[in-house]
Amino acid sequence: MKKQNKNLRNNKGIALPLFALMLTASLGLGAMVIDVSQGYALKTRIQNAIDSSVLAGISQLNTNSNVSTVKNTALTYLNNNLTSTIPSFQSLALDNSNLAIQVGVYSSTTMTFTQNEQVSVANAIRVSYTYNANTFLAPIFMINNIQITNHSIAAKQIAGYIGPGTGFPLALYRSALTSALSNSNRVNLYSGGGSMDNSFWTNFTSSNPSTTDIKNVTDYFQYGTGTKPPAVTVNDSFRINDGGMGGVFMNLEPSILDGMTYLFPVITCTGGDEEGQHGGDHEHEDGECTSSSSSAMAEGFVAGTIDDIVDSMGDKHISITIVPKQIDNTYGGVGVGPGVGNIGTNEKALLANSCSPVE
Amino acid sequence: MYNLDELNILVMGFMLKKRYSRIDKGSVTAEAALVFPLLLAVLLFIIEFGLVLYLSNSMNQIARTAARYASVTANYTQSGTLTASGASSIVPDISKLTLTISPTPGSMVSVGASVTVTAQYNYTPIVNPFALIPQSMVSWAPVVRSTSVARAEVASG
Repeated sequence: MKKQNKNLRNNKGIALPLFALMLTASLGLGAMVIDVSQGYALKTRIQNAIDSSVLAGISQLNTNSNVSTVKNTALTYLNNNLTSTIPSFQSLALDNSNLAIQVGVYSSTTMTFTQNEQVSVANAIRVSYTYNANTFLAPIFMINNIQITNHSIAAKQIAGYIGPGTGFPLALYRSALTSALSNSNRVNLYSGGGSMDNSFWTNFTSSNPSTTDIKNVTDYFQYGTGTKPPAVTVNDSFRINDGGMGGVFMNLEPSILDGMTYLFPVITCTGGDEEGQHGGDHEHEDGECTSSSSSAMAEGFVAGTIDDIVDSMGDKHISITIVPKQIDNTYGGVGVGPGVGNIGTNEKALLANSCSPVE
Repeated sequence: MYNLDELNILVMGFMLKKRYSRIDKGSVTAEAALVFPLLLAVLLFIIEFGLVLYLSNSMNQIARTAARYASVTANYTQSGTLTASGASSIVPDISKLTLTISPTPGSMVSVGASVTVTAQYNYTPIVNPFALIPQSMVSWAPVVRSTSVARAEVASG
């Protein structure tokens, strides 16, 4: 009995130190939870700001070859996004020791970035930033700040691939790009005759496309019905049919298509006239196919806006304005494939780009 | 020796001690009743804090996606940008979300201009944790907001 009373007396006052210990542990845990979650939230926001920065930089690089301008564009968008993300944020300068904005070459083969500020070869931009975030409760444990480091790389490459459902069934000659360069990027195609470039229709298969085959694909773009065109990669071959297919124009609906921008394959003829009208190789020096039914190879892809479709009494033509260096994010479906085919240096400037964060 | 008054105090003290000893038996329940609202308030605050943190990250994601969409879409619209942001599947109540796009849809936007999108959510707590604290007059209805700026890559207007 005495022993029990003694123990009871000993228990007196144990609650207080126990409570103090528990309180310290609880506060410590709370501090860690709040500060760590705040740190991760901040890391996500800074990553978003850096992503916006590299995207702004790469789109600037797409149209401007001045490295300094590209870097300053990336910096401006980094500052603008961080200002709206971090309270009392002080704008950064290019020479800030926590910031690195580099222009260089990104290899999609090795997936590595190498700094190289020669505009003739630069195709990527890398932004890296380290931010020291002040902690809220962790200073109890002498942890006054958390270091957050993020980086992002964006690269541009000439598209070598268009996804299923994105390639319009009208192919452009490789040579049509050359004439477009001297005609305000406009391509004029005809069906049946005239001085404009001939129009070549395809459904991206190895079979000779009939008017119905083409209608099925154009219906997909006009009404969302019909046949979804397959994915096409540079160097893929498919059959084309030429301007003799005036019936195709009868199925086009100008009120729907005018003003729309699509991705068109750029082709070169590889011969293969099944009907044997001309025999042998039907490739002109400029890459045009001369037969009504030939094989063609995709050399690249270009985005174009359909300006006008005229279909009246034998005057059937379609005019398209090429949107140079159109990037994939606008219309989708463009990706980096095996690279550009046999297209001249000047004409390459018109081809669609894939332009997106790669890391 | 004690005088009468002193004895009286001793007796009263003994009686009081005995009475309080008896009262101690229910003290745990009474104290628990007092502490419980406070603990509940703390628990609710943790839940609400988590929800607000989720919304904060969500607003950041929505603003970023919307700004990117508007920057690469010619003649972007309010509804198209909202749909592209994926907000309807992210926030619990889409009617409490406000998406402010600058330049406003339909305006002229040139390539290289800035497109700014602010996503704001007027959050109503499920239970205001402060209301469980006696005498607390704090009304808690946080506004969660995030802004993203992107470079326009196509012209509009």
